[in-house]
Amino acid sequence: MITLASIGETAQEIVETFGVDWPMLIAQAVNFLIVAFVIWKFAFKRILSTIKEREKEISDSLRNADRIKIELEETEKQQKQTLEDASVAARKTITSAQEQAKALIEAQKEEARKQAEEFIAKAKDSMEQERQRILSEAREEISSLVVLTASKVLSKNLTEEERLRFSSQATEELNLHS
Amino acid sequence: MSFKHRTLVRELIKNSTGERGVVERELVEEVLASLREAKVPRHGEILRLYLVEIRKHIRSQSIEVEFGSESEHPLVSLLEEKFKAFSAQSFEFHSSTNEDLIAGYRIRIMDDVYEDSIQTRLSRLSQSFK
Amino acid sequence: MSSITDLIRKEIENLSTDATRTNVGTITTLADGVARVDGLSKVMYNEMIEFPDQVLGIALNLEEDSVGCVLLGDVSSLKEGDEVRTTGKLLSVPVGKGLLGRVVDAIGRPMDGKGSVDSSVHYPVERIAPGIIPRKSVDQPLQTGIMAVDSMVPIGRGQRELIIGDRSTGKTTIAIDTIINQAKINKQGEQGGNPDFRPVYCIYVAVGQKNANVARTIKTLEESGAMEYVTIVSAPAADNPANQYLAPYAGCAMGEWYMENGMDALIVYDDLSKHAVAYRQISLILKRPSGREAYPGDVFYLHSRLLERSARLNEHSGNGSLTALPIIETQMGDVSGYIPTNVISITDGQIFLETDLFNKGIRPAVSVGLSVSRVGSAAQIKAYKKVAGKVKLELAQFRELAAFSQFESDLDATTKASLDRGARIVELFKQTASNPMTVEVQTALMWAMQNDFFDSISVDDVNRAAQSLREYMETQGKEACALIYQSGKLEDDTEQKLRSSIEDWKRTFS
Repeated sequence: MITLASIGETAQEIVETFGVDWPMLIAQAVNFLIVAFVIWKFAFKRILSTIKEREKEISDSLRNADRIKIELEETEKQQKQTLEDASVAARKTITSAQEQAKALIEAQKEEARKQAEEFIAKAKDSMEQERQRILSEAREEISSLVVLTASKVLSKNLTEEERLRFSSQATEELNLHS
Repeated sequence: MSFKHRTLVRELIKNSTGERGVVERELVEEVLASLREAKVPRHGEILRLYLVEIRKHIRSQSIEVEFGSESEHPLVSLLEEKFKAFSAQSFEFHSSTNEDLIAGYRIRIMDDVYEDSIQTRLSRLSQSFK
Repeated sequence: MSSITDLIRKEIENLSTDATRTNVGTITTLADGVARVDGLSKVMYNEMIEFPDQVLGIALNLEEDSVGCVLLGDVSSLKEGDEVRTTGKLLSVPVGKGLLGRVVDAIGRPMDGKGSVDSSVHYPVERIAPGIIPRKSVDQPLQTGIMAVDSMVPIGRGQRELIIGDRSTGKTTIAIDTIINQAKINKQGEQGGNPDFRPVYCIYVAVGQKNANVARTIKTLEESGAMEYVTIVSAPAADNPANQYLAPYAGCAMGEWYMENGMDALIVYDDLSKHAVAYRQISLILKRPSGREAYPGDVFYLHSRLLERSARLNEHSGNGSLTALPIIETQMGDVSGYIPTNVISITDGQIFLETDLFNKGIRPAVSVGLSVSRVGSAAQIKAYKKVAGKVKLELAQFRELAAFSQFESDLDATTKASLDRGARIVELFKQTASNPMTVEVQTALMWAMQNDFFDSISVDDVNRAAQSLREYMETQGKEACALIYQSGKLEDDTEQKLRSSIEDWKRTFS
């Protein structure tokens, strides 16, 4: 009891020490409530909405980052593809160039071979022509010699009887109607 | 040369030939003398044409025969017979020697030449080699 | 050696021993390659006359008391009083394929030192031209390989197309290029193995030309590998006028052999003005009456009977053809001269070459306004007809507008477009000598022009671009070209291929 009484006393003493003035306290409470309401109404709400916006922005940017990442991947993929294509085209060009070069070399070889053949053929031809020319010249020469000798010999060595025989045979054979 | 001149020349030729169609010397001289006297216009041209024609006429009546040697000359008679059988026209034969022929004959009657001689055969041979 | 004795033995065995009968005459006068002969009473007109030393002559004037003969060959050994004899033969020349690759003179004797001519057939030099019945209208192309000609004045097989112009305007070049192109086409066709392929054999007749020029022509033909399809008949300026007079007829007889044996041939007479001059000389010496410019009265007939012998024969007559490209040289661009008007009226059109254009660097210097081909587009393949149909009109318009626009500062859009197109076509048509183009490449170039591929290229670069496109089409664009070559048409898929090749080329061209 004594304890209880002492506690009561203590409280009493505290109230007394700190000077709790009930009407004052109530007024202060009312003031507080008013201030709290005002703050709630004009400051806190705005701060909250700003915070909300910030939160949204953050989540948005996070989402964007994801998309960018995907896009980046895609771009990389495309780049790779393009590079591959280019290398294929380059390889193709090289192959075709090689083929063309090969064809060109072949053609040139063929050309050279042809030229050589033509050259040989021409040389052979001209040799043959030369041979023919010499042969025909020889033939003409020999035949004209034969004719010349024959005429010389005949004009000198033919007897009168032989001449007469030739002439009379020729005259007999003469056909005026031809 | 007009048609008139031509007819005149033809007439003159007729006057210059005897009955067998042979040109006779006296007749030609007569024609020439009368041409000189007549003094026809374009006298020179007529004379030229007349002489050309007379020459042709004489050539058409004579046959020149060449042989390779003297010994063949008797063959002319054989030729004369042949030509008589060939044509009714009478020809005058002139024979001569052409040693180039060696042996054989060469007969020229107007522009036509008949020939068969060793020379022609040899030249034909040399032609065939070319 | 034994072959020679064998030959002599054989000849002696075969020797005829018959008497001969000949008609003879004697030379009375002899001057300037013409002999007057007394006698020869049985001579025929145009008969060959045998003079001493194996000189030949032709009886051209049969008069009352003498015969006028032109002499072929060396007359220095002849003298008055020499005996001449008839041969009973008209002047004839060897013909046939044995003459290909050869150079011969006016009577077919070889001049190239390659031995005797391998030919057993002879044709008379003077022949009657084919009549109306065996002829057929010209409908097959003969490509010259020159864009300006093939597109604007197309030539057909069997046509007679005159090449006319002043001296050194490229007349012979056009003819030689045409021959080279024929050889190119022949080789391509023979390699292709198409059984219906018809090669064109060529004859080049050089009349009154300098020997150096003839030698250069032969060299050009040899270098381009065309000689194996060509016969050259040469009667150079140093030759006597009788040979110059005969050479075209001799060449024509050689061409007729191909025509009558169902083949195609091309003959170039280079040139007929000198031929007329040679004939004038002969006629004056033969004392024939002379007419205008001292030419004899039959100078028209001289050329008409020659050119009429070129023809296209129908199927019943063997389907052969002989195309003629006569050349005439004008003085100061005057086409109204005697010989030019004659030959213009005989031929089926002309290619007129202008000195001004030539000097401006437009080569071949084909004048658009004065050049025509009376055969026209009948002698073009379908594909080419499609792309080249309007080009002559466009160029003519360009020339007209270019003359006008010199005085105008601002032009409307259509005029400007016409001018631009015209200037580019002019550039496109520039072509170097001995560089003929195949018809398929020409088609591709014309197609590119018609489809505005050259519009973005500056006018000065068009020729270079055309060269580059030509190279491209001959290498990478082969496929499209082959399609055109095979079908001769320009179908949608061909055009598609053509477009893609030309687009590819355009990307690489800078």
